[in-house]
Order: sequence, then C-alpha cells, then structure tokens
Amino acid sequence: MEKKDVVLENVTKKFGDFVAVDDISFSVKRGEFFSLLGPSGCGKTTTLRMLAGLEKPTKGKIYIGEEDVSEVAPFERPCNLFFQNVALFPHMNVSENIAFGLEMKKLPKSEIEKRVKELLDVVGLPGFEKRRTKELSGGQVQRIGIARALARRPRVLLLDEPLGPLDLKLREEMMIELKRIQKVVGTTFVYVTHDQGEAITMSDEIAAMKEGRIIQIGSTEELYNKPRTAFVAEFIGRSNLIRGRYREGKVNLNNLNKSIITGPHKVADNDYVAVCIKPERISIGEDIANLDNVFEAVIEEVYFRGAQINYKVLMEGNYKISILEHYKGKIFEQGKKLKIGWEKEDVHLSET
Amino acid sequence: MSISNKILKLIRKSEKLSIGMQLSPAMFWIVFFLLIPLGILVIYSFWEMVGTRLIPVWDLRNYVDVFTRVGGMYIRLFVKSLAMSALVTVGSIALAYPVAYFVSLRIEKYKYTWLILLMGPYLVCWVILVLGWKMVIGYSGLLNYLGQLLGLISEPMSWMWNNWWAVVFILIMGWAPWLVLPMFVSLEKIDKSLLEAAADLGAKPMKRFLRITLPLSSPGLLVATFFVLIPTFGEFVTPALAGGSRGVMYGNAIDASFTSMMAWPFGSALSIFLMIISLIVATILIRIVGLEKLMESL
Amino acid sequence: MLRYIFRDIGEKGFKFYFFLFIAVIYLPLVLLVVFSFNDSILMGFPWRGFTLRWWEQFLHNPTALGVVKNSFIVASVAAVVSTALGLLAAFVLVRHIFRGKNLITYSIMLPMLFPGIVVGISILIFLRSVLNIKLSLFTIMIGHILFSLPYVTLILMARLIGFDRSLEEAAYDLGASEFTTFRRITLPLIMPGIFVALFIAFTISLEDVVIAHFLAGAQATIPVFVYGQLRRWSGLPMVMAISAFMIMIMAVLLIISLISARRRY
Ligand SMILES: Nc1ncnc2c1ncn2[C@@H]1O[C@H](COP(=O)(O)OP(=O)(O)OP(=O)(O)O)[C@@H](O)[C@H]1O
Ligand SMILES: [Mg+2]
Repeated sequence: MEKKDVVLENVTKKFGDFVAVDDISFSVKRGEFFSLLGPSGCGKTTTLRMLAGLEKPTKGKIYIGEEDVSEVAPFERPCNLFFQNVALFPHMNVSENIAFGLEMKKLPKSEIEKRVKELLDVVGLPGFEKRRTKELSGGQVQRIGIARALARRPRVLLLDEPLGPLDLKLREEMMIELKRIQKVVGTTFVYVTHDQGEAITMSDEIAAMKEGRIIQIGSTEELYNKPRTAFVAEFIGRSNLIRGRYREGKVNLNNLNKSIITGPHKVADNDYVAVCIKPERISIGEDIANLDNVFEAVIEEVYFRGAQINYKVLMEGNYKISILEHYKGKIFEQGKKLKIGWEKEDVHLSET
Repeated sequence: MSISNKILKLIRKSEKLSIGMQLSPAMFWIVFFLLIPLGILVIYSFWEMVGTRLIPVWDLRNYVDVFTRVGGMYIRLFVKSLAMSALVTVGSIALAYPVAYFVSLRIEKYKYTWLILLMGPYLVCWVILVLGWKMVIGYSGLLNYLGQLLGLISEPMSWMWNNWWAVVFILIMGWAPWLVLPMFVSLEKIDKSLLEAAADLGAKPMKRFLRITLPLSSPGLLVATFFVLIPTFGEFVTPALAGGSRGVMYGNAIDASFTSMMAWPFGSALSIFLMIISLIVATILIRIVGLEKLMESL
Repeated sequence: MLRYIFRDIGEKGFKFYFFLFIAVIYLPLVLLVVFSFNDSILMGFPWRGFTLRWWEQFLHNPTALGVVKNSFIVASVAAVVSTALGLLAAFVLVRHIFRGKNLITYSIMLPMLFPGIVVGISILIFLRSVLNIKLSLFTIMIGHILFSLPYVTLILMARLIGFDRSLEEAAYDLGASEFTTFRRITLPLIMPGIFVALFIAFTISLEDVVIAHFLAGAQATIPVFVYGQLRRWSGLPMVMAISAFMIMIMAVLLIISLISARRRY
C-alpha cells in the first residue's frame, strides 16, 4: 500500500449550529498534488485550517503521516499553510518573513541565510531579501507567501487559493510555476481553489466539494469525464446538462417528447438523470444525420476565440447548449437554424 | 515538559479561565475603586456626620436638605449648573465646528499636524489654563490693559472676571480645542462626492451644508457633547478660580462638603444627583452613537 | 457675480477664523510663559522688565521641585499600570465572545461616564473611612489609573479590532508558540497603539487636578499645588514660573507627537 501523508476520517466542523464541513473523509498520498475544489463558502478554508490545527474538528480524526494530530498544536504540526490573504508580516522584510519559520526551528544563522536564498531562487525572486512587503507586486506577494510556507520543509503544504487575486496571464504562469515547485521540492500539496482550470491543470487528484460535503473524489480525468452528479459536471469542464428519465439505453427528456440514445448504463430504469455532454464532443452543421443523436437548434451567440469557436445554441425543448469547435475557416452566423448532434459514447449520465 | 508549559496547556484548554485571568486586574480596579466606593457613597448619603464621626441613621434628611437647606439654594445651584453646562457645550461646539470643517474640507496637506496643534492647549491642565485666561480677561489682563492704554476705559472692566460669565467663557475656550477632533473624524467620513453630487443637483452651499454635511457629521457632535457635558456638570476648579462668589457651581458645593465643611453625608447626597444625571446623559449618548464612534475619536 | 464675491469672502473668512482660533487658544499660554519673566510681584500687565527671579525661586524651592517630581512619578506609574490593565482587558473584549461581555465593557467605561469629582470623592471616602489608608502619592495613582482606564481600553480596542488575526495564525503555523507569537508579531504591530495609550494616560494624570485634589495627602502634584496657591490668589509669581514650566512640558509632548504623526501620515 502506498504511504498516505494526510488522512481525514469523518471530519465535521460546526460553528454554533452552522455545519461548515459535513462528515468528510479523504486521504492524500505522499508527494501528490491534491485539490479541494468547490464554490465560495463550501468549507474549503475551514478544512485546510483544521489540517493546520487552527480550527478544531467538532467530530472526526485527522492524521498527518501516521500520527493522529487532534492534540497537536499548530506550531508542532509538520505542515504549513499558505493563507488565503497571504498574511505576510508587515513589520518584517522579505527575508525576515521567510526566515521566521526557520528561526523558530532554531537553525543557525548561516543556514537560515542559505535557505532563504535557495527559497527565493525556487520561487523565482532572487535578490529580493531586503524588500519591504509593501514594495511587492501582487504576484510577488503570493510567491513570497509560498516561499515562507515552504521554508520549514513541511511534510504537507496547504495552499488556500494562492492564485486567487492574480490576473489571468499571471495565474497561468504561476500554475506552471507551482507545479514546477512541487516537482522540485517533492512535498505533498493540498491545494484549495474555486477555479476548475487551476485544479485541472495542476492536480493529480481532486475532491469536489459542495456545502460542506465532498461530492466526488478522483483523478482529474475521472472527474472531467465521469462526473458523478450534475453539480460536478457543471463545475468541472462546463458540461452541457440535459435532464430526463432513463429507460433501456435511452433518456426520455423532461421538456421534449424525444429521447437521447445513451446506450446501456448502470442506472435503474425510470431514474431521473442528467445527461452530460462536453461542449467539444458536440458536432454542429447542416448535414449531420449519421450521428446517434441529432436535434434541431438555433444559434444564439457566437464567440470567436482564435483556435476555437464557442457557439451558444438553443436546442429544441429550450435547452441551452454550449459547443466548442475547432476553427477550420468557417463560422455559422447568429440566428442560423441548423442541427447539432453527438454519438452515444460521448454521453455520461450523472445524478441530478 | 516543563511546569510552565503544562500551565500554558491548561490555560489554552480553558478559554473561560484565560478570559477571567485577563479581565480580573481591570475588573478588580473597577470594582474595588469605583463600584464599592460608589456604593459607600450611596450608603453615606443616608447617614449623618457629627464632628468627624459617621452615624448610620438611615433616613432621607440629606436628600430633603438638598431641596430645603439655605432656602433651596442647592437645588437652584444644580439647575444653574446644568444650564451653564448646556451653554458651555453649545458654545464650545459652535466655536470648534467651523475649525473642524475647515481642517477636513479645506486643508489638504498635513491635516494631522494641524489637528495635533489644535489639541495642544487642551493638554495643559485647567488650573494653568484659568491662570492664562486671567492674563487675558482678568483685572490686570491684556484686554483691560489695552483698553486703558488706548483710553477706551478709565478703570478695569469688572464684568469680565469673577462671575459666572467668566467661568462659562473659560470653559468654552478650554473645551473648544479638544472638540475639533471628534467632529473632524465624522466630517472626514463624509464621502466628498456626495457634496459634489448635491452641488451638481443644484443645491446652494448653505443648503448643502444643512441638508448633507451637518446631518452626516452629527455623530461627531454627539461625541463632542459627551466629552464636554459630563465633566462640566461636576466642574469646580474653574468657578473656584474665576467665578468669585457669583460664579459658583454645583461642584463647588460638593467640594466644600468634603474638604472644608466635613459634611460627607450631605455631600454624598449632592453627588448622587450629579451621578444620576451624568449616567442618564452618558447612557443616552452612548446608546445613540455607539462605542465604536467613541473609539474612533480618541 | 455677486455670488462669487460672497463666496470668496466666505472662503477667506473661514481661513481667517481658523487662524484666529489657533491664535486665541494659544494666547493665554503664550502670555503666561512671557509674563513668568516679568519683573513685577503682581501677576499680570503691565510689563516691567525681564527677570529670572521667579524661575530661580521655583528652581530653588524644594517644595516646588518635590511637587514636579511627584507629578512625574504618579503620571509614569499611572500610565504604565492603566495601559497594562487596559491591554489585557482590550484583548479579551475584542477577541472573545462570552456571557456578560457587554456588562463588563460598560463597567470598564464607567469612570468616563461620571464627572471626575464623583470618582474622586467616592475613592476618598472609601480609602479614608473604610480602609483607613492615609492619603499619599499612591492614592493619587489609584485614582488616575481608574480614571484613564476607559480611555486606554478604548484606544487599544480600536487598534485590536483592526488587527489581522491571520498574522498570528501564520506565526503559529510557522512554529511559533503563543508567547513567541505575542512577542514577535502581536506586540510590535500594536506598539503604536500602546504608545498612544501611554501618552494619553500620562497626560491625563499629569494634568489632572480634580481627582488629585481629593486624593492628595501631604505630597501634592503640580496642578494641585498650583491650585492651592491660586485659591488664595496669593500673587506668587513663582506659580507663573511653574505654570510656564508645565506649558513647556506640554509643548515638548506635543512636538513628540507631531514628529511621530509625521512619520505615520
Ligand atoms: N469562524 C467562523 N464562524 C462562523 N462561521 C464560519 C467561520 N468560518 C467560516 N464560517 C462559515 O463556514 C462556511 C465555509 O467557510 P470557508 O471559509 O471554509 O469557505 P471557503 O470554501 O473557503 O470559501 P471561499 O472560496 O469564499 O474562501 C461559510 O459559510 C462561512 O460563513
Ligand atoms: Mg476560503
């Protein structure tokens, strides 16, 4: 069996009567990049804070390494947290910030200096030692925050939306950077985000959270291709969802007296399901009759994105469908009536 | 694990214990040097003093005395002091408000330097301030000297010193510098674009002031009232130095009962009236403005 | 057209009023300092020439010097103790939620809600008739600590409300114990607030005459001493020298706070 660095068993956290984290369990393998993904307020920060020891679980057990850490104070835990608001110490400069955790370890001065320099190299900001925290740009603040959290060489690094406040371009650069840092230091990362793009790009494994519960845990591909529920499907990969009732390899649609051919699935007959189809699996055109499923549609909006075109169409039965197509020198115009379709293999069924 | 570590662990575990431990010094001070003494004050107001001995007679004679002694002089003094306090409050706020307004809306650079400069005279103790004002409005003060020098008056103007007017004047001048700050704080809070918006909608300057600036700065006015009104109720230093016999206030009566007359029970009864009125005013003002506003103004 | 002229006058009038206000509130203090060098046994006009007599009298008078020393001892002790008490209380009041919190907040604010005279006399009768303690500098300190406690607590609470707690959590997370976190993170960051609190408590004590008047025994503080002299208007110009001295102390304190304000704003 592989070594687990983090294990949560039936952890619940209540604030008064409000349940912020509801009976969640998961484990993270050594050296893995694990993401907690979910919308704002679903309890991601609370979960991380319990791991860091800043919040006590109301119920359940937390292990870091093999050790039960319920009674271990935050400053004795082998993990470090990157705070959602970074929380750099404003009265210290960059090197003092990074060195803080090392001083607490009572390392000799020369060793601390050496490590600070190394860490600044790792986060790509060499020579920033004497900068004051006020003199850093947004992206630099995030990087120094990461360096500070990495300084003690924690067994587990907990990151709370470290890329949240950055603009798109910087965010994309930092994603690559973070993944690189993780490879260099080989630490286990528990990464919190509400951005599916970040989670998909970097993670080995993702736990999708909603209202304090974990809805699905799995590899990135699993969550992308086989979302267990409609929520996961919408959140990850922006699947199109069409709701209906499953019966013998078909789903009879709610709004439309037609059905989608899905082939046999492990779903009981007459169950309500959501048919998920990824935007990039749908074909669009005037003549696509050879597909398993073909419907009439009207183009409502067209977004040209260079290599790709994104069509928002209204399918018969009033379903709004998003379609991604490679640009091959042809664009359909808004208001055009045409057909859309997909094969039964491209369909996945989720719980509604 | 060392003992101190163990104790730390214990404290960390029991939130109640640590709350209690941190609050107890301050609460001890409040209970022991304020609440208990106030309780004793209340008790003594029902007693009697013969010579230097306190006798527990437990009756209301001191309270009756407040109303009847010397033909009701004390209760008249009480009312007069309230009126004087109100006048001082209105006067000092009126003097300070334009200054706060000027600093907040007209000065751009070094606002805080000017503010600290404005507060300066308040940092000097009242006794010295009164002495200073004697140098201005006293018999041998600046005004009388200049008046005589210029031949405007032949002898010192006696109406300027040793009466209630001098007391009110000095109190107003003494409080005004301190009141700039709370009013400045609430004026600063006003979104300047509101005024621009009002001007844009065609409001004339006066109207703009009455409809927007004044109402929005009212928390500052209330905090200022709180700062002046309560200490002025109990004022005895200024009247003793600048009021002569016609300028005495209620505070002087209390002072005298404890220092020169040795009439503690009667003095206690007098104080209780003062206590009640200040508590009522303070509670109302704090209810309206809230502790946060008070905090900002310090 | 007329409107603009009026507005111009209004603007100028404002400025004029502002500077007049400053001039008027400083006038008595300036006169006091100047006339402490006046060669006349009467306090006041006219100017009869320069002398250092009154300052010499003051600086050679053991009572007066003792009084100055007393004032500084009392003010320093009162400032430190009330700031310490206020700091502990402010921490709890800002950071914890517990039953009776409002009641406790209100009771710490109580000394501010009464005129000083009530505070002074109630402590006086308690100390004299119940505890039978003789009045001394110590009793003045008791009164001053009590009286400055609400101001100090409010100032520190305001600072703590604005304090970002995740900084402390970050320190715990990086291996600092509670004590180390307090010393390395919390204390340095609230230090400006503590200085303001000390400054206010020190000034309250140094300038107070109301409470000290009731609680002073044989040893007085400067304001009580000056008050005693003035009650008789005994015409001692030495009092003016002491007052001028106090004004100068105020000026120094003011300059210190101006400099520290410059640094902050
Ligand atoms: N100390 C607290 N007291 C009471 N409720 C809290 C506390 N901390 C968090 N909550 C509540 O718990 C829920 C989960 O909060 P949490 O901070 O974990 O969300 P999150 O998933 O990190 O959201 P975001 O993406 O916005 O950061 C929220 O509804 C929040 O209001
Ligand atoms: Mg969060």
